[in-house]
Amino acid sequence: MRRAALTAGGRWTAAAALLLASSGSMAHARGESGDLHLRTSEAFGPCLAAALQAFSRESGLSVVVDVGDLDPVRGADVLIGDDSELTRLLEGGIAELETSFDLGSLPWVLVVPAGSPAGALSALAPERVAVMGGRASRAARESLQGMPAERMRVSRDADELRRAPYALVPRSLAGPGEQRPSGVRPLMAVTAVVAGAPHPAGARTLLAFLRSERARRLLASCLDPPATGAAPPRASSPSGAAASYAQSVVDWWLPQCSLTHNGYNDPRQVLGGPDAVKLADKDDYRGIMSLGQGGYVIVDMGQTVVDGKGADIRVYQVTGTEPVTLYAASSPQGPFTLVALREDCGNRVTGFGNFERSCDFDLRDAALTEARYLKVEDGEIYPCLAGGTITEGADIDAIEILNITKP
Amino acid sequence: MDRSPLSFPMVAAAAGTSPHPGVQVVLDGNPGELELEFLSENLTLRGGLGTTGDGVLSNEATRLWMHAIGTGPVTRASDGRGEVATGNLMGYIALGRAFEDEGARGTCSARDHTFTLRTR
Repeated sequence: MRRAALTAGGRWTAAAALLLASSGSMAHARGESGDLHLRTSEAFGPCLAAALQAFSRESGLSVVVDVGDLDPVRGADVLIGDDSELTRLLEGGIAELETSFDLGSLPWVLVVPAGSPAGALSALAPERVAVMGGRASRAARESLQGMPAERMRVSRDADELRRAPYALVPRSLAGPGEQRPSGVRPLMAVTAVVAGAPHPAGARTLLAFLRSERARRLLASCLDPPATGAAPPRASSPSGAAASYAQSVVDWWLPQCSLTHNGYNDPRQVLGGPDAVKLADKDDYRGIMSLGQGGYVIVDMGQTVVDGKGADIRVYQVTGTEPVTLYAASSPQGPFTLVALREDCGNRVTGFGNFERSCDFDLRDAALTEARYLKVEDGEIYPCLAGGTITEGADIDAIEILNITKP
Repeated sequence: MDRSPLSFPMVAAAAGTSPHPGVQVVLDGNPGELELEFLSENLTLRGGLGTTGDGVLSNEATRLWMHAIGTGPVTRASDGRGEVATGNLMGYIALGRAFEDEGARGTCSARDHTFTLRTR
């Protein structure tokens, strides 16, 4: 673990001008003793220095940055990590969902010596390829899965990653070589206050600063602006027909362990349009079915989904990027054909804050031209006995047809 | 990625009957480290096989991280108990040595991993 202390150097008058909207919480923040602790992962540490120095200078609050795994939070007040690193923390109420927001995205880049010919990293590299490790790097490592393991060096040491002549790393950890686009899904920096944080007022003051235009400008040298979310749920389809959501439940299954430990086991909650609500208390939701460890729900969409232009089906899921697997069939008894396996279900939905997420599926990926019955299966597949929340598994809110049979 | 089989001592028990009968198979001694939750119908097991972020150490001293769906026919072992001799596994697998990072010895997402459940 690396620690870097950013000491307060600013004056109160500067902070009061900058953080006018939160001047009340600022007073509380200054009354809290001890440093504010921010915990972040390796990729984002280098992105934060300028913004945190400005915050400290202007607020008079000192921030200590701890770099490493976000879970456990180890006394942190504020977390900044990739979507995938924060999912279980937000879902379990360890971090406060209502405070979370996106800071920006961070692309993965291939690093090669300047002037290297075009080609795949595996073909170019005469020596080992360095790849960042950790939960956030799963997609990056999967992109290199054709490469023998002995030719890869998985590391969480930022200096080692920067020194590597051949690497697949977030742009913030790229060394002096030439950077090329990687095709790996960018990381998304998400921040949230830790529930029961030792310095709650200071934590909120820091988040208010990170939301400000000034902080955005300071982060922009490292993070790209968050992408626009998926279109909001529709009241009607492009063809003018009423939007079509799942109509009835055909079958479902949750393991007995999930039935016992989870709090949201009613399959009827996936029917109709997106209507999930996060209530005030930890783990308190309305309108979702948690799929537990590998559970599923099969629904009748009431009409036929066709393979049209772009995605054909959208699944709405709440809190984080829990993966979803989708199968499709023309008969309620199947056979069900796999459309996509463990698809990260974390696309933002415009107008739903950082709570409602979605993922899109294309029947073409399964060589299907149409389907009416959809099987939505948990793709998180986290051990039920180790879970610790009442929302284990993907939490399904709704299933929507995007391409409907024309009359 | 090394394709040598990894083995784990497991304990199995029937788990629930509604809405479908299930079977829970967990790591002997540390049930939350490696947990298999299967639906059990028509002499077939199907369900999720998962580890936590810490992975699970195999008998062969390789650490495994896994989030996958397994399917396999149940056959009768010589002692009369059920076993899965040829199971299919779809999903994410990563390997490392005991104290290495996830995926240090390879990562593979695929639809054609395999697993077996044998009596001991």
